[in-house]
Amino acid sequence: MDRWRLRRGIPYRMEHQGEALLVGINDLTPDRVTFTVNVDGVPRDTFALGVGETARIAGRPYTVVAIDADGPGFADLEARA
Amino acid sequence: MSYVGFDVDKIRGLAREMRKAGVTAGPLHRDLAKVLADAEAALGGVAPTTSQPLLDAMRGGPAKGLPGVLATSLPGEAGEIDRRCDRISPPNGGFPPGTVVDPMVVFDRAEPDEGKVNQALDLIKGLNGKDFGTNGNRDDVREVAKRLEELTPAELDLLLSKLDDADLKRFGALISDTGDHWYNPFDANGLPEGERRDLLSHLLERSGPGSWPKLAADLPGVQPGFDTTDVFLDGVNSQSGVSTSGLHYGVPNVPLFADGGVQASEVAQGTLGDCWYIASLKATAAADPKFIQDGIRQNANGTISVRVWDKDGNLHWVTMTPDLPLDSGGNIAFARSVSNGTTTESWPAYYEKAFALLYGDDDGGAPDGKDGDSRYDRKEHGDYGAVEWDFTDKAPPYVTGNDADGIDLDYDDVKKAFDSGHPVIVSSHSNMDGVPDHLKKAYVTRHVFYVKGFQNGKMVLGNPWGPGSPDLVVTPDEFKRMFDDPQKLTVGK
Repeated sequence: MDRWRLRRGIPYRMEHQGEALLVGINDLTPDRVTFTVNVDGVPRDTFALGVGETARIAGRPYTVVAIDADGPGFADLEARA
Repeated sequence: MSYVGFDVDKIRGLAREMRKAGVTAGPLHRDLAKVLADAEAALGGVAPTTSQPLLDAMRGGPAKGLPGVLATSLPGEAGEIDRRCDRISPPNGGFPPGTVVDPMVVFDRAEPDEGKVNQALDLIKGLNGKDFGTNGNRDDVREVAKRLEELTPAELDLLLSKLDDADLKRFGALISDTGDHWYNPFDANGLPEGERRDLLSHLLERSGPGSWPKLAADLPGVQPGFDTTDVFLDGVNSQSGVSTSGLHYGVPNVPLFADGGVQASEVAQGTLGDCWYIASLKATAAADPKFIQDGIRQNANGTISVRVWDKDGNLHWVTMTPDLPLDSGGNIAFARSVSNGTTTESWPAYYEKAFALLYGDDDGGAPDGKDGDSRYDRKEHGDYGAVEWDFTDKAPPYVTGNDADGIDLDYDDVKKAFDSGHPVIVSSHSNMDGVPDHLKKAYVTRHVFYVKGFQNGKMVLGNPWGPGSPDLVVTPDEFKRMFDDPQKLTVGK
């Protein structure tokens, strides 16, 4: 199972169906991660998720499995089949 | 025919072929330039005929690039080959078969002075177990450094080929430790940071590629480590294109500059948490691209030098090997230039690497929230971990040579500074309080943005993430509510 540590302050670039995506965290609180999927510099989808909630990124569903809001902080996502 | 390790006649034959190729290079260049000129004329200036830098260099004027430069360089190199062949097969019959010829004699322009090399070698070996006296070892290691700096490139390579790793490591450890001994407060040890940096840069700039791995392995400060960075320690990002488990050093497959030189808008932060540095770099590049372009050069031996000011305001040209941290796919992992979703240039990565080597203000864990975890929470110097997560005002002196000036959190004050040519950077808040809903998608907490410009009474702020990240366009009131701690940078001394 793919696991993705999404760190605050770090841009994640990927390509999907010919589009350049940039995923980045907007904000982290102890129980919620807010992040945006930008396409060619334009915000397309913004998700505000708690642990156990799922978002679809680049055609794949990802579930938030952990959030750490200390310091830089991060959210761990797991890709669902 | 005398045999001296390789076939001299064949090598001379190569020189003859090089001369022949040189004769055809000039006409070939002219022919290609004419094709380009004709194509340009046919297009009527509607579109460029090529985006290839190599071809672009052919437009008009004297032949500065390939293949025209070969008209002069190939005959020159052929002459060098003949001169060296003359050394090992002199007209009076040459050396007897089986003679061992030191490659340094054959492949360097000037014959190395073995006496000088051996003296330097003895000095370095002599550091082992030496009694440095009550004044410490600084005068001793300084003497060694001076001898090293006096060596020609061939002599330096010869010395490094003869020098044991243990001896070079000892020298590296001695020059790096500037601490006083507890029992002797009057001793001076090691080389001060700036002096040590300049010595390392000198060695890298003059040594051959074959010597770099030894220098990197034995001398602290030659190659910045990345194994204490968050992204490397995480090692779990299996998402396409962001895997960190395969982080490794390698030479990037993109040029230093592609087309058009420094483009601030194309600079993109990578998977390193150094927005506070990249924001300063982008802001300065936007305000004065020539200043940034003039601050980086590629040396004849393939190393890269970047101009950086140290924490005391002293200018250094930090010389680095051309390899960079790459991800498992072979792409530059940290800062680089991105255009149309593709990495196009490597120059930002070398600025970042030089900064990682020289940054001397890391205070440890704060504010990275990893207090007590020795992997994260430590004061670092000389590696990429040192430049993760720090404060907004700490990077500008290293980029511009001047301390940043804090200015009031006021739209008009920021505009005045920007309009007078100053790069300006600004911090975001640690939470979304005060951020209007329509701006939340582009806002990033605990981040540093830079001022890109002003339009219709609003301020445009750029994200150091670079291409693909939306700008923030804010009113004077929104600016005041959403940001903090604007810093005005001053470019150059």
